[in-house]
Amino acid sequence: MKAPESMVKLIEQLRKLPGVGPKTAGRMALHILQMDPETVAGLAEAMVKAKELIHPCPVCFNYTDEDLCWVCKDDNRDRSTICVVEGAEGVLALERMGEYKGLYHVLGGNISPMNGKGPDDVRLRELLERLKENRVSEVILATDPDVEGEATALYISRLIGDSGIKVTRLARGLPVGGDLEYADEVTLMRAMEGRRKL
Amino acid sequence: MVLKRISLRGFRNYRALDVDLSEGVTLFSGSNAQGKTNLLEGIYALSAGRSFRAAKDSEMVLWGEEAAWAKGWVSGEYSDFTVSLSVSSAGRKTARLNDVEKIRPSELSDRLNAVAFIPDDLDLVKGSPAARRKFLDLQISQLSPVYRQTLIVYSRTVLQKNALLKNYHEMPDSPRLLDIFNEGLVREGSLLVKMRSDAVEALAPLAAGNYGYIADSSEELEVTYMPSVEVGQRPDLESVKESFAKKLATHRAAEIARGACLVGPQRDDLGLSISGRAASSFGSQGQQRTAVISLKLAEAEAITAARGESPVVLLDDVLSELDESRRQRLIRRFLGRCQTVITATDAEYAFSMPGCLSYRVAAGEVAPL
Repeated sequence: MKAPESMVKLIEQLRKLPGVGPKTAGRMALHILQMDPETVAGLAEAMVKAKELIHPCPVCFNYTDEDLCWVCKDDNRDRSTICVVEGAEGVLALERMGEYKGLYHVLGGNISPMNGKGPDDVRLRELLERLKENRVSEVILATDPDVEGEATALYISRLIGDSGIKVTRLARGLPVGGDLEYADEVTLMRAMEGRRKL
Repeated sequence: MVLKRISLRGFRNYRALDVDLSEGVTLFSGSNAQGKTNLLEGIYALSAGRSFRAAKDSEMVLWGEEAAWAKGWVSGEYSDFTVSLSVSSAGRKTARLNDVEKIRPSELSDRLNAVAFIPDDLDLVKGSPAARRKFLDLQISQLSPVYRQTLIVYSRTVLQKNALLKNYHEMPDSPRLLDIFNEGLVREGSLLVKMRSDAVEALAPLAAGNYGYIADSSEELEVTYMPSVEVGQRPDLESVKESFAKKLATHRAAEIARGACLVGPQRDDLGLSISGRAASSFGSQGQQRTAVISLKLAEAEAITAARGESPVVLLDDVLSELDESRRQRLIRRFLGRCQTVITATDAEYAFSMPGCLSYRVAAGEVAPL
């Protein structure tokens, strides 16, 4: 590509972001050039600062820039329930819902032998340590509903086994507010399997 | 359902083609390499959303063109509609219903069903079990989205289990992980086994009937499901799960030793025999060909039974390979049952097909005979 070297460098750096291809990166680079210098500095500083300050919460591995994350710190949260998610995105999604009042545990991935990931590559030992603290009565498994997520959930439920802690898995079924006729066949089948008595 | 007319633009060797099809039989005749198969490929693509022979769909684009485009005018049971598919030279596909509504290319088969027989289909008899599994999978997937999805999840689980078995001794807590993947295989795979078993049970008598008629002999074509997990006839899901789990348990040590999955529907096969002898090793060319045609016809009949509408049957260069009496009987079997499009090197056949619409194909030009 014919362009100033510093511009090419910027585009190459932007392409390292998820979902950004060559065209988007080019558009972003041009946009950055049109922004005033303070805004650009602010953007760069925000990236560096975030990387510097944010680290995993030592208890649940959610992201935080303090000693504990905002969930673990909150005294109003129910400490008897832990919701296990694959990544910090899961925490954000469930927090958007706003109705869950328990704690989280971020695994940092899933079990996937294809990618060389086994039980030691996710934060399971840390989870089991937390469960020893006697206060936990329920573990909610909120890993993704795909092959790897299901395997990870099943594995955790086996590990916890008969420790007396209740293990639950998020339900699958129809989306709220949607029409039955628009649901895909597999979702319908799962919803049928998971039907409840009224 | 009748495909009344098709148009091709920039498609294989057709720059622009518009041709009417008969409700009964349409015959395209001409020398080799004139574009007869390309026509069938165009019709098939309007149903399946992909080519029946190209590894890459972009191969359908005429050299130098940006995109290949095919459109079909369909007269359905309740209304007339059009389906179209365009494929860019980069391989991007767009399917439309009635020129406006965008649909997924795979959803075209919900509108227009086609069953194709091309010479490569002889792999069904001569090829590896994978070719026969693919035939079954395509056949069942066309009619069941649940099967389609279950097959994807199952195949992914097999890949994960193979990876685990390969590194079994390095992976921590591998026995427990193996249990978990085995449970996944049983959960998803048992449904595949049951649906395949049901599908073969429906196909087998139809294929046998077609074979007996076309061959006009007492030879019997037997189509049997040969599952890796033994199940009886009309198995219920629970009993399949039970025998699958049992078989996984007895093969556990062997799978660990070999470092690969050894049991499950990914190793199923379809048995084809003629009067008790394996068609692959004992059948003559003619017998093998007749067996595959009978199976394909059975597929068309099974679709008709499930959908209430018969698919368009596409036969590529089949007639010349059969003797005169089998040819006659094959045509008679089709007439009045399914809309059929046939290619042949010889136009003579048209005379044996009453009401047949006959075209001559030469160098990408099609003219009525």
